[in-house]
Amino acid sequence: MQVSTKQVLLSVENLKKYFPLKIPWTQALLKRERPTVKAIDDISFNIKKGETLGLVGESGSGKTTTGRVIIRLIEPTSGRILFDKKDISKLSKENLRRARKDFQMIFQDPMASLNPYMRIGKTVSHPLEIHKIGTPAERKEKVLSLFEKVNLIPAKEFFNRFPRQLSGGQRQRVVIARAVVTNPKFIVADEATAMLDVSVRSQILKLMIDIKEDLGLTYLFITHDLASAKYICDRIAVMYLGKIVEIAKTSDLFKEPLHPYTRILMGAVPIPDPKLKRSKIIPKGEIPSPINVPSGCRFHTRCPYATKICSEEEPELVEHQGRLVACHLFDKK
Amino acid sequence: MMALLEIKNLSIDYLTRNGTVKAVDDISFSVEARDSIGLVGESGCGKSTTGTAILGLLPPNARVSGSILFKGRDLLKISNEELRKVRGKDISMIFQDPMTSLDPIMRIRDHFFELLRAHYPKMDENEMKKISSEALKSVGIEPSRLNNYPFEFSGGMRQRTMIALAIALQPSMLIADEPTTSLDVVIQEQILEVLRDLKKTKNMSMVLITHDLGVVAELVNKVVVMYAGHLAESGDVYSIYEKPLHPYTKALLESIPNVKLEDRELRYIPGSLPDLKNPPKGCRYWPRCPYVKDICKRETPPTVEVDGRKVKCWLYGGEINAGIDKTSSAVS
Ligand SMILES: Nc1ncnc2c1ncn2[C@@H]1O[C@H](COP(=O)(O)OP(=O)(O)OP(=O)(O)O)[C@@H](O)[C@H]1O
Ligand SMILES: Nc1ncnc2c1ncn2[C@@H]1O[C@H](COP(=O)(O)OP(=O)(O)OP(=O)(O)O)[C@@H](O)[C@H]1O
Ligand SMILES: [Mg+2]
Ligand SMILES: [Mg+2]
Repeated sequence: MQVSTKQVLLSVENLKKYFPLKIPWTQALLKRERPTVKAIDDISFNIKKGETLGLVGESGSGKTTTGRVIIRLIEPTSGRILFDKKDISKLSKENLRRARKDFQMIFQDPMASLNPYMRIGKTVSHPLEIHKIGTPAERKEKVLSLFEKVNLIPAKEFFNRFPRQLSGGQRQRVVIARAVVTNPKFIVADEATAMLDVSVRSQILKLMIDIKEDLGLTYLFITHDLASAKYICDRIAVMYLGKIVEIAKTSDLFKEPLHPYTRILMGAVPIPDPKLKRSKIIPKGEIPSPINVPSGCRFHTRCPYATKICSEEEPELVEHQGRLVACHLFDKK
Repeated sequence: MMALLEIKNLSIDYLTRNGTVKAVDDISFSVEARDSIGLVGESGCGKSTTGTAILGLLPPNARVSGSILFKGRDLLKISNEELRKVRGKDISMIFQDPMTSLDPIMRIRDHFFELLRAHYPKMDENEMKKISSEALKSVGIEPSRLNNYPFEFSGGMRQRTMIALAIALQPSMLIADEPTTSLDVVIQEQILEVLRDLKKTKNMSMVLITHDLGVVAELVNKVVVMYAGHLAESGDVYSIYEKPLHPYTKALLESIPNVKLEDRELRYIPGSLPDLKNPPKGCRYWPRCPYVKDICKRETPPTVEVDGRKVKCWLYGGEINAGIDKTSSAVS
C-alpha cells in the first residue's frame, strides 16, 4: 500500500520505563532492593508517515505508558525516540513546548483530562490561543465546525457547557476535538472511542480517518477493541507485560495470529448473540505482575503451548514470514 | 411477588442556563431478584442519568419525578441518611469515570478501608485487609498493589478497582455503568465470570449500563433499550436479539461490528441523537427512522405489549399492525 514507501515519522528504540514502587517504610527497611514496576521493558518499533499503528494488549501491559513516554509527558528510563529523525528524548523544555503542537494525545480518561471549570468550547480553542493561531472569531468558527464533525450538535449550545454537563461519550468527543484542533502531525489516541456506542464510534473512526487523510496525520491507536483496530489500523503491535510480542499488518494478524497470546485475544471477543458463548480458551492462570516478571517468556505461565525452553529463555522479536513475533514456536534456532 | 427494584414513570430534567435538557422521559422497568438487566442505547440517551438517579446521586440541577421502589421503599422519598445506608451495602454502583471517582490522594487500600468502616465500624484491620486483598485479586490485581495511589494504576486497573470496591460488600444490587469499557477481552471475560458468580452464589441482581452489545448478550437476561430519554423497547434478551421490534433496536443490533468477518466496513445509524432541549415532536426517533409515518411526527407513541415485550413505536400501536419484516431483522 501507499504507506510502505513513505518515510518513517517516529522510531522508538529499546525504550524502557520503570516505576519505583512505593512500599510502607517498615517493609522498605527490610528489603535491599526497591521493587519496580517494569511498565515497558525494552520495546522497539516505528511508524511511517501517514500510517496508523495499533497498540493492543492486556490491561496493564504498558500501552498508555508507551504513549506518554513517546510524546514525552514522562521521561523514559532509557531508550531513544526519534521524531522526524530528531531525537526528542533530548529536547529542551522550550523546544518541547513548541513541538507539542505537532504531537497530541487523546487521553484514556476524558473527565480527568478536562478542566472542570472551563466551558468545553473554551477548552477546545485553548490550544489555538496558546500557539497563537487565528483571530478569536476564527477560533470559535473552527471549534464549532469541529463540534459538528464529532456530532456534538447543536454545536453552539454545547460550546457553553461544562464537562460535568456531558455524558461520558460526549466528553470523549470533546477530547478528540481538542486533539485535532491544532492540525498536529502525530496523535496518540488512547482508548479514544472506548466509551462510544458502536454507532457513534463508527462515525468518529470515519472522522479520524478523514482528518488523517486531510492533514496527512499519523496515529498511534491504543485500544482494546479489536473491531476498531481492524478498521482503522494499517499495522498492529500486540503488547504483553511491557513487551511487544507481535507486530503484523492488520489483515495478516486477523487472518492468522501467530503468538499464542494474540490467538487467545482474538478468540475471546464477546459474540453479540445470547445463544452463543465466546470460546473459552481464556487462560486460567493468574495474571503475572509487572513487578515479578516471569522468567523466560513472560507469557509462559499462561501459555497452552509452553515447553521447557519457554521458562528459561526470553524469545526475541524475530521475523517470521515477513512478520515479527516473539515466541519460541517460531524461533528457528 | 414484589420486584426488587421498580422504576415507575421516571422523568429527569437538567436545568441549564439556556434551557432544560429532557434527559429521561417517562420510563418504567423493573428488576427482579437475580435479574440482570442491560440498559443500552447511544451515547447521551440517558443511561447514566437513570443509573445515578437510583442511588440518589444526581447533580443539583436535576429535577426528578416518578418513583424508584427498592424492596417497596421509594428511594426518591427517603432521607439522605437512609439513602447512605442503602448505598454500598444494598445497592452499589460502578461509575463510568474511574479516575474521578477514585480519590487521587488516597491509597487504594484506604478506599477499601473507608468503605468497610462506613458500614462496619467495628471491623478490625486484618479483616479489612483480607477483604480488600480478595476483592482486588478477584479482578486480577495483585494485593501488594493496595499501597499504590490511583495515578499509579493503568486505566483498566482503575476500572477494575472500582469493580472490586463495588462488590466488596456483596450488595444485593449492582449498578454497573460501562464497567468494562477499557478492559481487554481476556480480562473482561474474567470480570464477567466474577459477576456471574456473584449472581449465582449471592443472588445479586444487576443493572448493566453499556453500549457493548456483545457483553450484554453474555451477561444479562433482560434488555432495556433507550433512545433520547425514551424507553424504546424492553424484554428478554433472546427475543430482542432474535427479533427486535423497535426500528431503533434493529438498527443498533445491525451496527455491531463483527471481528470474525472478512469485511472492514463499519456500519452506523445515519443521523444523530436529537437535541434534548428541543426533542422532535412525537416519537423521538422519527427523524432517523426508515419506517416513519405521519403519526410518528405528531404524537408520542404509547408503550404497548407485544409478545411479552414492551415497545414504544407506532408500528405496534393498535390499528397499524404491520411490524417490521421478520426475515430481515435477524442479525447475522
Ligand atoms: N449535569 C447536567 N446538566 C445538563 N445536561 C446534562 C447533565 N448531565 C448530563 N446531561 C445531558 O443529559 C443527557 C444524558 O446524559 P447521560 O450521561 O445520562 O447519557 P448516557 O446515556 O450515559 O451517555 P454515554 O453513553 O455517552 O455515557 C446528555 O445529552 C447529556 O449531555
Ligand atoms: N505513575 C506510575 N507509577 C507507578 N506505576 C505506574 C505508573 N503509571 C503506570 N504504572 C504501572 O505500569 C503498568 C502499565 O501501565 P499502563 O497504564 O501503561 O497500562 P495500559 O497497557 O495502558 O493498561 P490499560 O489497558 O489498563 O489502560 C501498570 O502496572 C501500572 O500500574
Ligand atoms: Mg491505558
Ligand atoms: Mg453514561
